[in-house]
Amino acid sequence: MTEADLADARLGQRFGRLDLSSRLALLAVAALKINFDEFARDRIGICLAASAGSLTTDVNFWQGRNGIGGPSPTLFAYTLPSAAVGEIAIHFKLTGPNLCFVGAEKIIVPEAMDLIRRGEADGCVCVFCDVISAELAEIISLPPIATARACFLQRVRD
Amino acid sequence: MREPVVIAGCGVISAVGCGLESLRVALRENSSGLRPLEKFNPPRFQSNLVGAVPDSFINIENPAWSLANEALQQACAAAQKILSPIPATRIGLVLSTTKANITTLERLAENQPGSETARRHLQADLLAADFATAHGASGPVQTISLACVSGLTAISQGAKLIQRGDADAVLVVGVDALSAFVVAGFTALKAIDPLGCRPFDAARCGLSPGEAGAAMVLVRADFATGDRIKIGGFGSSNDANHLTGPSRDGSGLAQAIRGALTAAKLLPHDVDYVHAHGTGTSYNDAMESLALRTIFGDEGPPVSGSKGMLGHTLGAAGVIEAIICVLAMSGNFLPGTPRLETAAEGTPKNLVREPRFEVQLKNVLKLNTGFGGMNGALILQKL
Repeated sequence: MTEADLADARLGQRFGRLDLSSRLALLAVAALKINFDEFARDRIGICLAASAGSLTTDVNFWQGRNGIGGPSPTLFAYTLPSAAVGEIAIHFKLTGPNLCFVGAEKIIVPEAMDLIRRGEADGCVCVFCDVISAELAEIISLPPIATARACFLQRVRD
Repeated sequence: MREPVVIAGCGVISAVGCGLESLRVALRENSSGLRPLEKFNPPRFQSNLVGAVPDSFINIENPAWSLANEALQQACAAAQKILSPIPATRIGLVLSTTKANITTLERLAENQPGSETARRHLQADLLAADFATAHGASGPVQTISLACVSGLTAISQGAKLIQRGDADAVLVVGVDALSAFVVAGFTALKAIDPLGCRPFDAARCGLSPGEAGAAMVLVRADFATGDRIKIGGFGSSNDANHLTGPSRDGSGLAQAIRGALTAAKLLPHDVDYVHAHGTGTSYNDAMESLALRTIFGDEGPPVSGSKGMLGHTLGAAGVIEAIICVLAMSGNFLPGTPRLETAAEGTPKNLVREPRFEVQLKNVLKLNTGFGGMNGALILQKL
């Protein structure tokens, strides 16, 4: 999912208030069209990696520090890479185990498989968020990008 | 049968000083390290009472590095004999942090100079990579950022890396430094207690921001000898309820506790002590109390919390609070709950206000919860 996909997206009343990473992540999971009703919600985990953590939102939050009333309390909640995990859990009512990494995508699937193999979950939503705003790109010397992708792993049913 | 993973060494730097002994003394005396810091004066910030590490230990350009590096040095020194025969490729590192070196962002916004390293350490995964290089860990490196459950999750991930055979030893390090960024954020949420954090107190009204570096060395049990404490089990869940508020019924945290008990093959009555998350916020302490009653009934094990001593150290909280459990287990005492005066209605009956000595702790439960509805429960067990 990219920013272009967000234009027509409607995933509940709160969707527009989420930060960019959370919106992209939510959209990527929704695009999987998983029927979570087929699973026990407490047996579905979420495993997410964010390439640059929440730094894009951090920059936005801190830019508002001198505004009237100070920085935004709403935005502060998104200055955690795991905010997207929380939004996915809330939207799809998934109460299973959570993992959230900062760094490359390759870590997600092996860790999700491990959650399932160890019996901690029967399925796991895997999400990668790669969000670097133009402002952040200048600071960390990486190119701007805004994408998220997701897959779903589940235990093989007998 | 999974190979047990044990704690071979710990290191800590916090508001009560540098080194395990300073923490041990503070725990036994039930003292608080919270103090006013001018740079967080109201009205810009809700309170200037914070859990700050003495300035002499902090590199102001890269505080996250200085805090975590100190803790790692202590932990690695404590475990030196065990670590030295293990090849570097078999030593991993897991970093727990919520904001890494966020102070660099503050400095850049004010057009203050920042070194390339300080700028690089804005990125938590690069901070982790540099810790691994500096401390001879060329095995797997992971960076966990799961709000205030990061620390317990990092310990669990460290144990998993060893149990999966990916490493023989893992350095787990938790860190977050005090920053205007975080204190302004909690101020915006009106989540700071102007009088200082008072976990489970009837008059509690918020947390106190804190900073710390905390580290532990995990190894396969057969590498260590003597009295050993193992990672017994971990449970994780999500409330799926609200981004910044906990569930009102405690069911998510109870689910995480059940997961940890199952993983450790324990029943609730086997738990000798619970070290609570205990943020001092009204809703979180009430939720945690409900979760404990759900699992343990009205007469549960002793419960206490340490955020009135250290403040809320975010990414370091789970690691430093697990170390507190280790000190309690090895020192045969129950930590108290600093700054608690009058226990609120509905809080655990067996809330420990002052430390109790001459107690034996075999199975200890450590809890953390965080923004995004995250819950974590870790069991530590004497082998």
